[in-house]
Amino acid sequence: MTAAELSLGAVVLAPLLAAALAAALPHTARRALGVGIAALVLLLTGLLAVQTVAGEVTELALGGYPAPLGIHLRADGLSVLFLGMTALVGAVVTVFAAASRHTHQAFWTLWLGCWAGLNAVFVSGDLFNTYVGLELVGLTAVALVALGGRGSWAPALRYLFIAVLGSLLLLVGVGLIVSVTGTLDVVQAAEVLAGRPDAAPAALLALTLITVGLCMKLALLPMHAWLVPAHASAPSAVSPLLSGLVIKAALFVLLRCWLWLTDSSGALSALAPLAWGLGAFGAAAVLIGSVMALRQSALKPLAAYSTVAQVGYWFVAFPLLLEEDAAEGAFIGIVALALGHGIAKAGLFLGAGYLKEAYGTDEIEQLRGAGRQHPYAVMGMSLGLVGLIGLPISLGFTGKWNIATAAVAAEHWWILVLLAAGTLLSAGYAVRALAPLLLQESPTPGEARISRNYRSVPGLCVIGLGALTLVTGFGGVLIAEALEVGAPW
Amino acid sequence: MSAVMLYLLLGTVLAVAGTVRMLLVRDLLARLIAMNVVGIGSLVILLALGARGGADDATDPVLSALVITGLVITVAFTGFGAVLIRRIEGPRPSDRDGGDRG
Amino acid sequence: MVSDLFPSAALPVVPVVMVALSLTAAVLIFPMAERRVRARSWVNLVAAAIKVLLIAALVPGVVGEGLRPEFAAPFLPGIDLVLRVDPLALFFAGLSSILWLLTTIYAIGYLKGKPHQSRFFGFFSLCVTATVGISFAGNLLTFLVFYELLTLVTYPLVAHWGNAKSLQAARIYLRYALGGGVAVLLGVVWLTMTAGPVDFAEGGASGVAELATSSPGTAVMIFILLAGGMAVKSAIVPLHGWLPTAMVAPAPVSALLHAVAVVKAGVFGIVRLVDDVYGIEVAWQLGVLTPLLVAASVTVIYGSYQALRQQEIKRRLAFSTVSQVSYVVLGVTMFSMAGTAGGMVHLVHQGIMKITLFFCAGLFAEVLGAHKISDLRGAGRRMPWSSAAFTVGAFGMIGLPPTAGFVSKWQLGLGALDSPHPWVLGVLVVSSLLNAAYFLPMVYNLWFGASQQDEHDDATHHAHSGTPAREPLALLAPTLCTAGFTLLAGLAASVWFAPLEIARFISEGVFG
Repeated sequence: MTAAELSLGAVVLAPLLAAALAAALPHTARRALGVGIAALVLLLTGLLAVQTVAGEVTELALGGYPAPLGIHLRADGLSVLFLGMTALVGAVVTVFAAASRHTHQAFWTLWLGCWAGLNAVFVSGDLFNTYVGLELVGLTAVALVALGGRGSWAPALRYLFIAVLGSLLLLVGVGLIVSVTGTLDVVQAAEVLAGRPDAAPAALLALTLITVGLCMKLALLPMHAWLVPAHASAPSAVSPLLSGLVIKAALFVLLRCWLWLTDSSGALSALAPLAWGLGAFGAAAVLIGSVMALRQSALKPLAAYSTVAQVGYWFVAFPLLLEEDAAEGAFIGIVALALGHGIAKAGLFLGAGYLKEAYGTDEIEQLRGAGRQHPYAVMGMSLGLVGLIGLPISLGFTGKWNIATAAVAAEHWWILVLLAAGTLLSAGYAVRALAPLLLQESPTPGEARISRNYRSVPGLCVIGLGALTLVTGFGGVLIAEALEVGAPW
Repeated sequence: MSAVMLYLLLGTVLAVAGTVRMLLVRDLLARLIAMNVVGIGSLVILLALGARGGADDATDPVLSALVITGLVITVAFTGFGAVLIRRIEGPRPSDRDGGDRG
Repeated sequence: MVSDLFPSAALPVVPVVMVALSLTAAVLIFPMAERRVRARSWVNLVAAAIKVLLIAALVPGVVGEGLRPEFAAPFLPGIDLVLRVDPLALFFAGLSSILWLLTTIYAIGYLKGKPHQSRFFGFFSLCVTATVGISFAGNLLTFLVFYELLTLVTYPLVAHWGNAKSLQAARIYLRYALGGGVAVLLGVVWLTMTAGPVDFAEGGASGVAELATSSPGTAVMIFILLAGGMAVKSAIVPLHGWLPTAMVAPAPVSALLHAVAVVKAGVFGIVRLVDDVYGIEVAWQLGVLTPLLVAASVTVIYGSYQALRQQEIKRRLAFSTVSQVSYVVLGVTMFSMAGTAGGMVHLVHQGIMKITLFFCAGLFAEVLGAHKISDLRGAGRRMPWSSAAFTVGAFGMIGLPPTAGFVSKWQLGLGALDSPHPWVLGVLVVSSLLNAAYFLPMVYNLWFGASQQDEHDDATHHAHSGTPAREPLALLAPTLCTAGFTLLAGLAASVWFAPLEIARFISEGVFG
């Protein structure tokens, strides 16, 4: 077993074991354990990434049983990119949570379990493990929301209902695929489907069910109402994980199913109505989500509505996935936007949560001048917003560039108009969120002397994510190259 | 074959009815139960698919595994949902018990 | 000879070092404590000075020997981030680095004892990073990256005082700039898809020339998007609305915004677009130059007319900028070699003249509390040096010899006569008359106006009329430097390294 194969199994098992262990440890030890696991996962992911970028797909059959019976893990370019983003954001948020005084005791078990679930989804080679991983993520995510106190219980329950409904749709879709192809393995199923044109209607139905189910978890527009209260009322360290990472798991599975399952099976052309439907809802999400974000008076709901809008961008590019000469660009664009969003939105939510912990509120009006006292947090949030607007240099820009060029190639001009409108609207809510924080008044009047908080670890975490937003902006080419590894075409 | 079709239909009706109920009802406990109805409907669909898929009358083991996992996960979610509902509807300074119990 | 200064292997790194210099300064400055004035000033000044020296060392190689140091890093699939030093880049970078040095000195004096200096100088350095990046950008995408960066980092500078008024101004600025930025982005995307990645090249990119012959309609649409987007930053009427409101920013910021950074970035972009993307011949054949020329002419006249109506010093200067910057566009679009040279030389000349005027305005406001034109009465006796510098700058703006402004206008006039549009000469004459009409009263007020103290309660002012006021050296020295440059550029216009000669050299390259 090579180091890369070993780390493939360990990225899932290490956080899972740690989650169980954390429940038995005293509180301070949990923090140390969390940080240690974060470092370990970062290292393991790095090993995997090196192997993958070198052009090799890492595979591992746990226990030696081959597919379809055993647990089959596979890390291709797409997996490694999402693993890497999760490791980076997860590590920073873990440090934040370890340094914050407000972290709930149960956070560690739940978060480490969630991390294991995320990694399981990303490295899973078959749909069964994907399903189990998604459920682990869903259950822990709901519980993490519920850590936010009384106000968060109702949103958590609402989230739970949606998560279960989405999972059941996914489960039926997966079952349909199994009954048609006889296998859970994505690659094997695609091969079977390619050889059986008569199975196309069933595959289409299965894919539709899976798509609708995942769109619920992704909060695509008509099904977005649960996201805003859930993400806004979750604890400070949780919101970044939910918005940055948890919804990415569903997107990952969606991409996997759309691009790998349907490869050359002829189902892709039949998907056009569905793709255009998703594109239309995505467009509506971009516009409505941004306008709603503009109308918020508090930071966390604003950031949550911004997530609704950003989810829209990914779906706007879905019709492009069906066009032969635009598919690759659109795919790169969606992945870049999603990765960029994961980092940038985590930074924004972390900053908002930091300020909420510091001042007891996230109402923008009451945070006037917060930038004086907490320059790092506010600057980190600004950098995150740069990424969300999609200005260079950030993955948001790279993603929009790729989608825009793909749209020109496919001559879907409306996408360009939508990208431009979305960019301007997001700049609008960015200014709305930031400008009052930059004011010179103090949020706590009467306090004569303002101490500048340069040393606090949570503040450094926020600006760390902000810096990552910019640094990853140089990774556009790397992403394109990584996606070539194990690509469906 | 017709029995399989019957089960498929039954599962679909259960799942759809459960979903509609879930979206319309406001009482939390009723919603949780509706969610379970959807779950059972989906699992019935899966079982029917498994019965159909086997060429020589044997049920598909993979699908059975899926059903069992789905069952376990739904139970876990239901349990957690029940805890949340109890907390939400538990004693609150401003609220009286039994306001909107159906 | 350049090989003595830079080993050939190090050459490609030079443009990166230039960009990294100000970036490093910014990174060093941001976390500095407020009170570490000395360390901050040193970082600022050393970085600025090194940059001036580097540029000076590059001039002989790039202009004389035809070297083109180039650095490329992969950025997007199929497109690199390219930094390349060509004469035009060096020209603009030279302007920005010299004025950065002077403005830094001025700003250190201006902000002494005021809050948030680390933030100010941090963003100030980032602003210069963006400007240098814009000047060295070797393709449209790189240009776009730094162009958007400039928008972002100037926002906190405009909003620096953090009161409602400056935030409002900053918001308006951001709205305009981002709108323009999106237009440029769409244009770049479209052009990249239809003509391939566009590298800047003297005489125009070959892919664009092919596009212009195969589908001229698309080429025109793309030109409109790109030029329209850049017209926002260059404040061409009717997209100039942000500029006068952005005057709430601290004086050094206004000076920088107007002289080198934002406005000039827009104009520089238009120059690149016309000369190095489309190529002036192609642009002429597409028929896109004349509409731009007309827009610039309208802006020149309208800006002057508005300036005449303003009673506040900074607002009058702002509208003067609107008018003056369009001279550059005027020169570049009139389709004659002399005109292009005139436009390019005005890029530099307008920079040094306008920064002089803004430095002076800042001085008058700081020392005398003068914000209105009527407040300037009698200032000549109390602040003789500043007033003298202001007079030089104002004469330059009007275009009187022997100032830099005269050289620009003369060159532009020659170009107009040489071009298919001789009527532009009329625009120049009318505009010069208007310039005189709004600058001469200010100069008259300075030297011959009865002192304001006779009418005003002097409680608001620092000193009594007639007695010379103290002009802070840190503010005065850069002002006198730029005023000196204004005179020098006029007197020694035919020295080989004078702006005019370099502009002519570039213009010859443009026309092949």
